Amino acid sequence: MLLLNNNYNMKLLGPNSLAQYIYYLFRLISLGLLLFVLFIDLSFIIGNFEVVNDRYFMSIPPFGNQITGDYKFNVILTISIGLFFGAIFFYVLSNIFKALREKVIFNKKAVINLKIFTILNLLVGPILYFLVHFPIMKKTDFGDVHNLILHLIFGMIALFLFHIFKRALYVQSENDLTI
Amino acid sequence: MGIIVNLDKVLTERNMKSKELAEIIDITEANLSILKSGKAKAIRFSTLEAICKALDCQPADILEYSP
Repeated sequence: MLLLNNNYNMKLLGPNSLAQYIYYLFRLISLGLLLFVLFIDLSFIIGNFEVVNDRYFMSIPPFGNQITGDYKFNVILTISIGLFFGAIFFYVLSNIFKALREKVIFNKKAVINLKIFTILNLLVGPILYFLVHFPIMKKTDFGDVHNLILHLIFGMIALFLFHIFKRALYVQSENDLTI
Repeated sequence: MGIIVNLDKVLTERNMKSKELAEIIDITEANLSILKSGKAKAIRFSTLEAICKALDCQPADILEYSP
């Protein structure tokens, strides 16, 4: 109820608002995921890991946490694809919030990034799910299907938001040109 | 062609500058420029009334329809 109140101290949109802090958070997550996937792939290339009973063990800096898994190419490829997709997902999401911190909320950047986010969730996400699940991991069941459903839900919401923002941008530009 | 804005013509006839008109009717010079260039999508009755009052003219002197 407080968030709906216009007099509430914390602004949701515009400069110095919640949108700005969410932008910083998502951009940080995106950067973290990108660094993580780069570190893992580089470690696999230069041999910065141990293999015990066909399982790899890798130390992750700075705290030395260990990650482990089956030492198979398809597993490593799946991890890389998943993390890289996650980095792009949060990068685009951060771009949406970056656009929402502008003075004018209905702007071109918000519309473009919502469109990219829609494509990412409705097209790229499901394609990657099927690609990773069947040809790469050679699974026969629909395991982890909740990931696919989540992407489709995000995608549908983003699709509607994209069209709402597109329409709002048109109405706003018409209004701006009313003298 | 649609609607043609003849504001420049009326301003010349009245020997008035755009800046002066913008100050009288209380709109920015940029907005007046949009109106003069025909890029405006719409004009408010209040703006039209202010322009007519300032230039002592009729709306038809400013706006013209060209098929």
